[in-house]
Formats: sequence, structure tokens, C-alpha cells
Amino acid sequence: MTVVATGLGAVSPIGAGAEAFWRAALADTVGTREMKRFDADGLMSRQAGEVADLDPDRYVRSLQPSELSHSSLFAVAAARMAVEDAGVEVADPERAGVALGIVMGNRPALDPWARAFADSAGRAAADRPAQRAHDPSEPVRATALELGLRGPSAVLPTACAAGNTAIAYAADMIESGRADVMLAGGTDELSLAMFLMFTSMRSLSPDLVRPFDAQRQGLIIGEGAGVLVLESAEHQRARGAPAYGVVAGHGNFADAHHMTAPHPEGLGAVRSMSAALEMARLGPGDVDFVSAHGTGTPANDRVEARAIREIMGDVPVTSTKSQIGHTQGAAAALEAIVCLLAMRDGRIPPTANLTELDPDCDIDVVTGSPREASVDVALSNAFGFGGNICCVVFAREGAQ
Amino acid sequence: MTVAITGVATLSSLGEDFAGALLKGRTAFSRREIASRAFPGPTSLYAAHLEELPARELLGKKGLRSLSRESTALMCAAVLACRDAGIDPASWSREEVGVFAATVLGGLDDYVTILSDALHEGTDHVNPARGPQTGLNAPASQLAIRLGAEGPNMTFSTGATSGAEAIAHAVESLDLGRGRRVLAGGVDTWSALAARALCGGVAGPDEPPRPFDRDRTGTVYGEAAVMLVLESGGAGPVVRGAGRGFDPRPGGRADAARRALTGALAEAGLDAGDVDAVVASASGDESLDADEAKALADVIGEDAPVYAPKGSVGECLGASGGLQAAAAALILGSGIVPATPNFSVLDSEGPRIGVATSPVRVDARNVLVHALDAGGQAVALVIAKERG
Repeated sequence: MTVVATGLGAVSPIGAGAEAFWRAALADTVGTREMKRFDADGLMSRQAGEVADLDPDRYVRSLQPSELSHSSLFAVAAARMAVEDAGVEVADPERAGVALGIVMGNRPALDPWARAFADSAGRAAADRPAQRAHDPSEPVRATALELGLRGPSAVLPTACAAGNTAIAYAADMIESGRADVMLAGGTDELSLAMFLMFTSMRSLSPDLVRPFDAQRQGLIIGEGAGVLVLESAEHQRARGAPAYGVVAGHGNFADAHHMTAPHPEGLGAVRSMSAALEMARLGPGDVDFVSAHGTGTPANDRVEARAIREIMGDVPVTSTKSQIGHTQGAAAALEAIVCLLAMRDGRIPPTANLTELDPDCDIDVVTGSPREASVDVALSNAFGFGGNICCVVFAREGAQ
Repeated sequence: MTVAITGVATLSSLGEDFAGALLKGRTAFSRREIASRAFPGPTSLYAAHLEELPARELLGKKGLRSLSRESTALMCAAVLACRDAGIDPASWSREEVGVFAATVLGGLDDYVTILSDALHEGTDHVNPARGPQTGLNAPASQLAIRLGAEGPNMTFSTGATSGAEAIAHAVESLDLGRGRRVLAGGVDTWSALAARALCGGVAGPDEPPRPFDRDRTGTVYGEAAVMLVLESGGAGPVVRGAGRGFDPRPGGRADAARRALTGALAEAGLDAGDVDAVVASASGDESLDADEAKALADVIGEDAPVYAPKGSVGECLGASGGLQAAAAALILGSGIVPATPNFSVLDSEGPRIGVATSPVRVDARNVLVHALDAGGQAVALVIAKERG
């Protein structure tokens, strides 16, 4: 059963709404800047991809926005946008579910409470933390409640691969006949813990994300949510709706190597990309565009570039993280939107901040201005801590 | 090709003889102080606490220091499960072995310790090895690294159903030919912060839970790690079907449960009358147990014996689904449905289901496992004795 994407929703550091996000990406807009959310004293970098311009009341109708953590709010808003974009009315809510990927999800809503607890050496009879922050599936539950969905639903916390893991899980649910419609994507918010973690690992860039650049120094943490409406092709055709494209294949293999460093030969990446292409019944030569994981760290970009070259040679590549930072659970979902709109418009957004390509990253990175290209097949990479890897292939309807 | 459970291992409050403990209706609930580096103040939790992990014996001495307690526990369970299945990770085909784990609280203690270390000692004192442990995916990832499992790797965190979901999706993944073997299970352990965040920490009823009982006073949590080895075409109890239901609305849970139960039976090609025993999710919660009883009465009726193992092990969140599956395997192997501890009588006006007050002998061929979460998720599995 073919799975198609019919609606897109984006909450990002460069715009709210899929079209605003896309226009900003084409215009090479850099949305990482000095953050306002936390006090940056002692942190390695003050830079973040922060969501600034979301109007909750426009997207949240049933729930109370003030009762939602940032990540739940982003997810609900992006889901609402996607459903409106798809123009889909859910006839059978029991066959429409939600799958969202997260890194931390709504766990940061615990932070003020945890700090009060730590300050008092555990003696404070602190009130229970708000917003069900102990429950990782809260963004899924909130989205399902807001949109009236009761189909197969799950939170997939597979680190930075999570957005793709959720898209793959949702596609599986539709393909196996367990659902007709799935909202699939990912969400995450800025958290002090992530800043502290990446500071401790010396992984943060002091200024910009420079994927594949010879002078790249690290990543910048971002936040947001991306949601796709996925449907079975039958369901889509029955209501006469257009599709952005097909979720043609996906692959999930673990590096099983190290908690933070990628496998030196990109083992999981090579296997996942190959498996995704095989599932799509496509060959490496069919790929017109690769949306890279491209975090801007020395290790990731080198390993990823080699894997891309090994499998696909000279294919155009871009990293959206150059513009929005690493939006964690949302990353692969927002990058899926880039793939689908590149297919629609025949344009590939540039990778920002690249001045000198690292000779060790011998791939065709799109820079400067958008590249006009006929994109029938796009491959999207997502590589997570712990060696979680998930790659998804999108294809124009009829391209397989 | 059918997917069989070829090995099982459980680490819980009940100690080494898990099967014997369930059959005898043993419980091991106690109130304990929970020490925490981040929070030296007093926190105690009444729960089914996990005993000391045999980590050195099972995992060797190297590389254990940076592992969280939950990652260590899951790893121990995995090593034991592989032994039970008679397989050696050193010689398996690495890309054919996946890991599907469930955890709800995984990484929480490390997450908060990072904040606490930064607060008390400065950002320079945050240990870089701690950061990656804060992820919910850390137990599954650490396991993959330690045992060399390069196949599909997933983590599920939808509360009390997450373990059953891990098993269901692992079976689906193997059915689709994605690898030959999946280590499917789950783990949850309780830190001081988790105890405070979810349980208020200090106060609470100090009595074992009474699943389905008219006088039940609430869920009591437990700690556990469980691992099943699932293999395409293997020998052992077979996962014949899975069903899912979800309704996040107030009052929607019984309906979600009904859908999961009927879905699992349909996928297994069975009628309600084919069910020889039910391993239920009931944990002693007033309304959750009632919702499950309603659904079981509607779908299964009164005849099949119902067993609620959380009366012995407590609500173990990510580990619950695997523990319930292990209990199902025990019933299939022994032909005995254990009595549910501390159960004596159903709700007076409530639905009638077959919860037993003493062990029941059955000709066990098909056991229905049902997991239900407070957030409205339900997952059911049919585990059968032979390939059907």
C-alpha cells in the first residue's frame, strides 16, 4: 500500500508554517542567534535556533496553550497546520494516529521543579511538576486530543534520528493497513540540559553552523516541530487530494559503535541509506537530492560525506541545520518538508555559512543560492546519539 | 514466517526464581530510602525494588562506570535472555539482530544530575559521559553497542503499554524481513527525582497493590528489566497476533482496551472462546482496573482465568509488557494460571471476569496479554504454545 504525504506543518527558528519555513530556507536565512531562553553563563555558546514567532491561539483550539510544554505546543501547532494544509477530514478517528519523534520532548518542563528540588537538597516538598513533564508521550497525547485522533500512536525517542523513525513507523502503520491517516514528525524544545551536555562534550559552535566546511566547529541546538500528514494512496485518491510525494522507503540500522561518535566507516548510515533505497525499489543513481544530517560537527560531516559519496557519488546535498541549527526530534521532520518541497518546486535550498568545503567532505554541497533541479527522488538522513540511524526516501508519485 | 520467543530473562524484585515467585504469589514490596547524588535529602519510595544487579558477573568489569542503572539492568537481562535462548552474541550475524526496548523514566536521573552538577559545582563539572545517558534511547543503544546488535533499533515510551508495543512492533518488523532476531523488552528503575515527580516521594499507602479487588487502594510501582529474544522461525511460544487501541479522552480507556483485545484476536485468527488465560495489566488503580475489567468482560467474558502479575511485581512501566509476556510464557509452559496476589473479590456491581484466588490448571494453548496505560493507550498480544 503506497504511503503519500498530503499535508505539511512546520514550527521553526526561521518561520512558522511550511511555506514561510520553505521561503526562508530558499532565501538562505540563518535563524540561529544569541538565545533568550536561558542564562548562558558558563555555557560554551550562547547561540541557539529559538522559535520566536508562534501564535498559539491560532493553532490550538481545544486545549489550553498555557498548560502545554513548548514541545507539546510546537507539535500541536505543526499538526494543526499539516491537517489544514492537507484539507483532510478524519472520517474514522480510530484509523488516524500520531507518531512523533523526540530527543528530550517535554522533559525540560521538569527543569524549574528539578532546580528547586536540587536547591533545597531534596527537602522541599515541591509541588508536583506541571505539564505531565514526567510523561514522554505527552506531545503525542496532546496532539491526538487536540485533533480528535484515536488510531495507532506512539512517541519514538530515538535521539536525533527520531523524526525519521516516527515517519517510518507511521508509514508502516499505513502500509500494513492499521491506519489510513497518520500524523508523523517530531518535536523538541531548547533545554538547559542539552546545552550543558554539548558544552561538556565541547561540541557547540561559538557562532554559526558550517556543515562540511573546513573550519566547522560544531553544532547549534535548535527547537521546533515538523509534522506531515501521511495517508494511504487509496485514502488520498478517494478524496481527490493532491500529494507532495510518496514515502517510498526507509531504513533503520544501528551503528552499535559508540554513544556519541559515529561509526568511522558510517556502517549504520550506509546500511540505512541502502535499505531505504531498496525498499523504494530505486537505485543510488535515481537520487536527485540528499538532505544531509549535516550537524556541522567535525566527526558527523566527514563520516556522512564519505557514506554519501560511497553510495551516490555526485548527488546535490544540502544541510538545513546550517540555517535552523539542530532541532533534535524535529530535525528529520523539518528536513522531510525540505525534501518534499524541493520535489514540488524543482529547487534545492542552499547550505548556509559554507565558505571553504572540507576536502575530506568530497560531495556536491549546494551553496549561495537555490539550485534549480528536477527532483523526483530525495533521500533524507538522520543520525542519532547512541548510533540510532534512520534514512527515508521520498519520491514523486509515479517516479518509482 | 512465525515469530517465536526463544529466550526470556527477567530481573525484578522477586529475585532469581521469577517463575516460582509468580506461581507462589510472592510479593516483595517495601519502603526504601532512595539515594541520589543530585538530591542528598530524604526520599523514600514504597515499591517493588530491584535487587542488586549481577552486573560484574554478567557484563565483566569494563565500561560499567558510565552506564546508568537502567542501562545496566537492561544489559544484564539481555545477556541472561541470550543464554536462555542458547545464542552467543559473539558469533551472531550483527546486522540481523535488532533491539526494541521500552522505557518511560530512562535517562531521567542523569538528566537531572546534569542540572544539579551545573548548579552546585559549575558547568565545567558536568561529566561528558553523562550527557548521552540522558536519552530515553540510551538503554537500547548501550545494549546494541555492548552485544554488537546492528539491526533495527527502536525505543518506545508510551507508559505502561510501551513494552507490549515494543514486542508487537518487533514481531511486525521481523515479519517484514527486517533482520532475523530482535531483543525486545524494557526497563524502568526509580530515582529520587522520579519518585518525587510521580509519587510525591515520602507519603503514600504502604501496602501491596490489590489488582481488580473491590478494596484496592492504588497502583504501587516496581522496578524491573526484562528481555525476550524474538526469532523468525524459532522454537518457542509464538506471538500470533497484536492489537492496538488508543483514546486519550476522559472515559475513553475501556474502548481503547476493547479495540486492542479484539484486534489481537482477529490478527491471531481466534475467537474469545479460544483464549485459555489472560495476563492483565491491572495494577490496583481504581479506575484503570475498572476500565480493563469492563473491556475484558465485553470481549472475553467470564470463563477464561485472568491473572494480574503486577500484584507481585508492581507497575514497572517500560518493563511491564515484557513481564506480562514472560508470565504468559510461564502459563503456557506450566499449564498453571497463578492466583493474583492480594485479590479476593471483584467490584460488587462491576463486570464479571475470571480473576482467580487460587492457581488454576489449564490446557494452555493461547494466552492473551493486555496492557493498558492511564493515558489511553492499549496493546494486546496473543501468545500461543505452538505455531498455528
